[in-house]
Amino acid sequence: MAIAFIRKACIILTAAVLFGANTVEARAQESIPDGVDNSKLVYFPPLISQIGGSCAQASYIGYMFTYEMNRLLNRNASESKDNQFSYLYTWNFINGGIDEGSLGTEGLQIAFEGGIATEADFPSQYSSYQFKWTSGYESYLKAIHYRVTKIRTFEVTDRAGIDEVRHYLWNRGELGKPGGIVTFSSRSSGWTINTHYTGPSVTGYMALLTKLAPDGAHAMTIVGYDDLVEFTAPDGTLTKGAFIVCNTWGDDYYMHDRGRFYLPYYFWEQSDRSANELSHDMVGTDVEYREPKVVFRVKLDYTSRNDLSFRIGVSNKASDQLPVHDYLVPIANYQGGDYPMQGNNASSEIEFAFDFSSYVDHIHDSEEPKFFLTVSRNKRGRQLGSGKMLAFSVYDYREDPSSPKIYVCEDIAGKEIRSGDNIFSIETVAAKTTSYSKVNWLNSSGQPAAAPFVLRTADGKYVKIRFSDYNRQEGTIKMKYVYAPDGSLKFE
Amino acid sequence: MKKVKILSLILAASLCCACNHNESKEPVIEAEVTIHELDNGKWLYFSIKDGETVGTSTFLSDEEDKLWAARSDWDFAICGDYIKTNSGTSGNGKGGILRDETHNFQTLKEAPADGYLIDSEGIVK
Repeated sequence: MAIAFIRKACIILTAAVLFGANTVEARAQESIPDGVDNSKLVYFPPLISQIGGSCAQASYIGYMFTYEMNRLLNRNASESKDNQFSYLYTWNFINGGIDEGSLGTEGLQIAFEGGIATEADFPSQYSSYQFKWTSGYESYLKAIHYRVTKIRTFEVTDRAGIDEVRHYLWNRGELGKPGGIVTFSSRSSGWTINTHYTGPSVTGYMALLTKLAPDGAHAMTIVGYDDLVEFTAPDGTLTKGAFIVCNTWGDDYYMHDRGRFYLPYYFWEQSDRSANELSHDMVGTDVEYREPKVVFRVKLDYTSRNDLSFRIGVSNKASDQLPVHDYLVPIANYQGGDYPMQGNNASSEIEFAFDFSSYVDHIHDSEEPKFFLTVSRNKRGRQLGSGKMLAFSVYDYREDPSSPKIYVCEDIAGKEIRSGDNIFSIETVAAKTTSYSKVNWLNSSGQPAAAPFVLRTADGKYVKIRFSDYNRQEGTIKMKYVYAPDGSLKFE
Repeated sequence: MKKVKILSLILAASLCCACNHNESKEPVIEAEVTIHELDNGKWLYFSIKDGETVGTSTFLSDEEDKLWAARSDWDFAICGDYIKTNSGTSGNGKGGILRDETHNFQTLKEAPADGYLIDSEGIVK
């Protein structure tokens, strides 16, 4: 699983700037229990058997986001696929149309900016090479409701860091509430796991990692801890305590112990370890369920999806030809490889919902808002695709969520998507009109053109005019003219 | 309603000497003026014959536009980025305007016979 270091650094930096590193400051006053296993709570989904190199998305989205959202909404994750979130939804946007690893924070960023589709709304994908994108306004609209609000990072290189995470796993600093879960990364090829552990524990698993892996890269989820688990360190010292790791390699009988294993605190206390061997940070997240306010509905047909990106915007006046405020959509941004819109060997037709809710203040600022969709087409990958727009409309849920106002872009169906920016707009208020001359009498700087004008007067006579020195602040303009009062065409 | 300072006028009046006996060509009138009291919120109307402004109307007022469209005592009006002539949807007159890219002001000796833009409804930008 190859991960570009620079890309990772950028994403981590972005996450830190956007969301802010955070720690749980609240502390429960009651004593912390010896063991916590949040994977036994109803909020945790059935074990995932990841497809391809999707471990980070499986851990961050499939497990952690799903768990935290169900914890927030007090829902049973196993009750319905509507209560589980699709890790392939984010992975297939991120992976560039090739089976490779990703960064979990990229998935959380999509969740922050646009939400996550449920498993119920994501098409079945059995092979890593299908790279599917879901289609349908309702599917994406539902996704918009489920959002990340914050990414938490925990530095775990000593006992203090371990204790901070233990408390987070216990109750996230909220007395009487269930705890959170966190993600981490480590090498995974060649590790040693004793699957016959029979030592003390309160959580009862028989798989204990006894040696970190020398190779590979993998993201996993910590779902709890057990302070009674014993591990003999390489120097013969008996240590106590371990985190409970939940893997994404399915629930096969031979896979650890029901997909889980203990990862002793000992390894986390080795502050001189490399981050590749075992990450120095763990990541948690806060989530929210949010009602959308304004949503763009976009339907198109295109053969090579990584050529396209989308921006959604608004301007202040119906006559504007360009948006004043313009935002990049967090998905389908030159992503997904050289495939049709819905994936490898799938349909080239797709329908999206893009959330504009974060930007509604810009609509309030305007008396006659005009919505803009910009579809940018630039060759990416091996081939330049082709296609056309099918529909574009804007749903405004602000006054009545059950009956949104719908603004429709007319005459867009069948318009070819050309290279560069393809700009489509919808006026919410008809543009004002008035009567005037279409002569270009001003240049781009707002001053009268240097060329002379010939004016025909109300009674049909001719005058040549040169305007100059247009001063709008003073309300003055100079005019030199020669008038032929006899109706002649001649000016001399 | 004089809002114009005529800096120079006249000139060619009686200097026309190329007329034959049957022609009574009026001399051209040459002038240079500064129009005052332009405003982005109102049209300011100008009469070429009188060499002065003749009134104003509120921008985007259909009612006032109609009244001015019926008048013949103005030739063009200015409001912000817009100019209108007494023609088409702006007025009942025989007006129109063209921009001559082939001459400068001095070398333009004769008005084109056609090519004049007649006013029409347009989007307010």
